[in-house]
Amino acid sequence: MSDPTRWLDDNNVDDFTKQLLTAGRNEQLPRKRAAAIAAGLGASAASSVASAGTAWGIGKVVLLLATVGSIGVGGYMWSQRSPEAASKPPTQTYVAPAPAPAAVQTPAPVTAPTPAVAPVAVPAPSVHKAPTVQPPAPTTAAPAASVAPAAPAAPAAPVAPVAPVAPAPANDLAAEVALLDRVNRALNSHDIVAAAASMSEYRTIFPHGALAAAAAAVEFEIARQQGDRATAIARGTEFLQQYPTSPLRKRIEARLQELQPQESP
Amino acid sequence: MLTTITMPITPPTMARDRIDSARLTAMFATYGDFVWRTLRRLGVPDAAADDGCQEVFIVAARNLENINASQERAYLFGVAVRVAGTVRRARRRKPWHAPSADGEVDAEIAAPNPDAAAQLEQHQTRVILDQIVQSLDEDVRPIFISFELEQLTMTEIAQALELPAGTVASRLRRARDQFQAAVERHKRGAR
Repeated sequence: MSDPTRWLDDNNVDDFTKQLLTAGRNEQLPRKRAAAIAAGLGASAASSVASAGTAWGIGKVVLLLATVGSIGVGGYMWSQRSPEAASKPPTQTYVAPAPAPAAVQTPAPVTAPTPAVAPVAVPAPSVHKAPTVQPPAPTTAAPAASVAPAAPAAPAAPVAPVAPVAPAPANDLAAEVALLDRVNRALNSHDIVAAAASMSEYRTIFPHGALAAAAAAVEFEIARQQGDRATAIARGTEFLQQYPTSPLRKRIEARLQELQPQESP
Repeated sequence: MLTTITMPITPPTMARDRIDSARLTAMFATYGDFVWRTLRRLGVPDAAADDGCQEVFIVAARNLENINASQERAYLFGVAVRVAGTVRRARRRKPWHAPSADGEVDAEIAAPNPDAAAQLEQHQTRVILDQIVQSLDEDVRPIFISFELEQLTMTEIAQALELPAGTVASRLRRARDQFQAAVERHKRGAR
């Protein structure tokens, strides 16, 4: 298909029209909101896993937890994006950053908008489901986490954190994801004891992990599935206070309502 | 480079996760603005655009294996068009109105800084753009913004929207005619 000349490249198009198009093309998602989206994406994915029970296959669990990890790093990258970079139009070239500190454990900024619409189920375009799946191009290089030597999923000895927000190597993030993955597998198998044990291990190893929101949502789900109503309510309430702009807010709220005692007529 | 990864200790699942993780991170960093902008131009209100953007990447995460690396942008565009349609349908009872030029201004734009005047002017220009884009027929709108603003190729657009090439070309022509007419109306109204 031969493409026509775009208006921005066409000398016959008036300046006002070009000004309109340029203004639209240069618009950038505000950085704080981008970071909030990235952080929310991670929490949302983890909670989907935690709350879906056996409806989720292991593969999906793994993939969604991979989402958690990646968006966590992505959120950091967004939050660290320089104004110069922010002003540039998006390009298809991605330059992998240096190992990113996993520093997105803070709640989404309070300036982030409250989710206004519920997640919607959207069918993926079928045209891209061709069997000829290509691996990521070398130019879209992976962050260092992908090439670093494998980190143990769970170090043998608990490591006491030195600083609350000490930057964690990127491969720690992978280990964190792996451990939360283990928690969710146990949850999906209705092995609540194992889930709680793995969650305890997670809290010991990652007391200030990058996936704090996701972990909080999982802890709420563990208490709920344990039938520990009081703890579940406490954790759910705490989650809503700590992550007021989380996309999980509505879901947690709904579950909290289910946990409230029914009033007798 | 990704192709030289060797992970003798890492279990295969973990290795796959890391590759997926890295790829999704790259997609989000590269196309986050593009997706968000596309949603906004397709009429998703500012207050809902962040959720919509998030939804697009959740869909992408679930289909990562099926997304051709060379077609990521087109794939995300296709999903964004569907998400925007869903949001619009959900809000049909409450039609979207482009923000007034002197009304809604993003907090970051409103924040005092040396470029505030220039940013406000850009914002007002985008308000006009949005009003004009929203006046286009719904079936031509995605084609116009993807081609003229986001610089997708006609082939990418045809793939993303699952339309024949001829249909894309004819809709672009219609979109351009409608856009030019709307610009003329705006100029007359401004005089």
